[in-house]
Amino acid sequence: MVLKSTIVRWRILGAALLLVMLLVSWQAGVVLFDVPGYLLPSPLEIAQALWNNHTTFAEHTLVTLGEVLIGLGVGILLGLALAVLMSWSPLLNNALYAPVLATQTTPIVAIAPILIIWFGVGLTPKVIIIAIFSFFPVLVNTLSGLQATSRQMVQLMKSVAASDWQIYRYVRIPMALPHVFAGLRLAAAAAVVGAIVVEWVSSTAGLGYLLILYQSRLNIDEAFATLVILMLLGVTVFALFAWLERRFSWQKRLGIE
Amino acid sequence: MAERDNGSGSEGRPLVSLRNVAKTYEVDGGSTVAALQSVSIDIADKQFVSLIGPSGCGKSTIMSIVAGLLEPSTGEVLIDGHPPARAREAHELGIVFQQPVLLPWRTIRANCRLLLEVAGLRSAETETRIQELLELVGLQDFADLHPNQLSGGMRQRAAIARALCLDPLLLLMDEPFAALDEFTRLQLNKELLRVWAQRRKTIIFVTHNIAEAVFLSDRVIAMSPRPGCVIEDLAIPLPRPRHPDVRYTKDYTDCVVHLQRLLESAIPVG
Repeated sequence: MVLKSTIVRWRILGAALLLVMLLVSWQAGVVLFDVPGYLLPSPLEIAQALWNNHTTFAEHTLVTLGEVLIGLGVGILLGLALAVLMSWSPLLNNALYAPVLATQTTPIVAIAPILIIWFGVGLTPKVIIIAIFSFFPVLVNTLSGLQATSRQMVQLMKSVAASDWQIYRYVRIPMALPHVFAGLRLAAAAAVVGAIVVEWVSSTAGLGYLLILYQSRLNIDEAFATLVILMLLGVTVFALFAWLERRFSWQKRLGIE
Repeated sequence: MAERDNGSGSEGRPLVSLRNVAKTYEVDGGSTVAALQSVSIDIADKQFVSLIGPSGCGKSTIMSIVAGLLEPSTGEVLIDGHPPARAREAHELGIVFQQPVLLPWRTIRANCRLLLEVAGLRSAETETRIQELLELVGLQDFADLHPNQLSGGMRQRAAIARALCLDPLLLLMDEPFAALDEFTRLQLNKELLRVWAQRRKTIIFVTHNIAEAVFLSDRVIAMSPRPGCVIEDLAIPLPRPRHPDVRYTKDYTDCVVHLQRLLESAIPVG
């Protein structure tokens, strides 16, 4: 245990060191080669932009975060429900396969304007699009997880006349958990991308909106600062699900790979 | 040497009865493949019967049909006078597969408890029974470990304990030791006999190991390759309780040689 935490500490230290080195060489490069600020701002300039506009950034980050969390929640529930239905009934599986695939092959940027015409510029089209982005990895991973139960395990359950629901409750769903968590992490990252896409198309607030605004005004420092926040937002949501996984996945708990 | 025995004997109604059970599968293009061809077997209560034969002779198909997991194309199966579905609802079946199929997130004890929970039978009394069975298979010190912390042989013992937890009438064992190494297999053969001596059940034991079948069974039923049918029903005249040294007696060797010849002649040379 002591050894493990030491290793983790070194790993974090290593990553931090690498980040610092990267920032220092970036800064040095910009200064040394006299790169113009409208092409590539230096880390210090970005930090300054962050500091000067921190209330604006906080406001818009909250808007995007709210959209991401609601959209992600809807997407996760949708993905889980569809996975259970599709694994339970071959008929539903066949019927839903094509429509589900269609949501992923249709360019979201193209349907976003239609959704905005239908639902206005409010929260609804944003939630729908983020859900479309995030339900798919949950569905695919959960589905393969639900099918990971061996045929013999199912036969064993049926030998005591277990109901379908009991087979799901005792065996299939817990067996699927490691796959579900892998799907959740992917969905979290996809949800942030979805939020930015829909804010780009049309919105009056959020980090995607800010990004468009700063770019159109050639406020490159601020645009880069927005990117930094987006990156941090994605990493934070990802880390949240990684934490949930460590906390709730039997596979992680038992150290089974 | 060994004489024929139809198993129904003088003990009244057989516990398991297969009447003209046949199974054909439909393959692509509407043609059918016969897996089993009119099999009739009666198995008396508390009898240890092995089904033996080359792969593809339908022994596992018989197992699935007896467990009610597969419907026969023709014929019927009765367990204690009732169809298999009734036996499942009455929790009269215990199954052990080639793989232990334990749930990795449950401890060994909790794995044994699984079927009791599903059947809604969990109680203080069943907890005691689980403890006794774990002691019986020698896992009392490993009860609170997870399956990934146990060896293959130990996991298979856990699977046997789990199958006995519901105190079933009939134990179905589908090549339970085939995935184990030779030494572990022998060890578990001996242990199975010891367990069986204490928890006397009717056992149907599927194997492709002739020596194992003769050593364990009261009766060995040999089957031909596809379509499977019974080609020999051999009563094993070895005394009980069976000591491992019985494997060096003439009666034992006679049975093994007889079955060996029979099965070799039944398999087309390819």
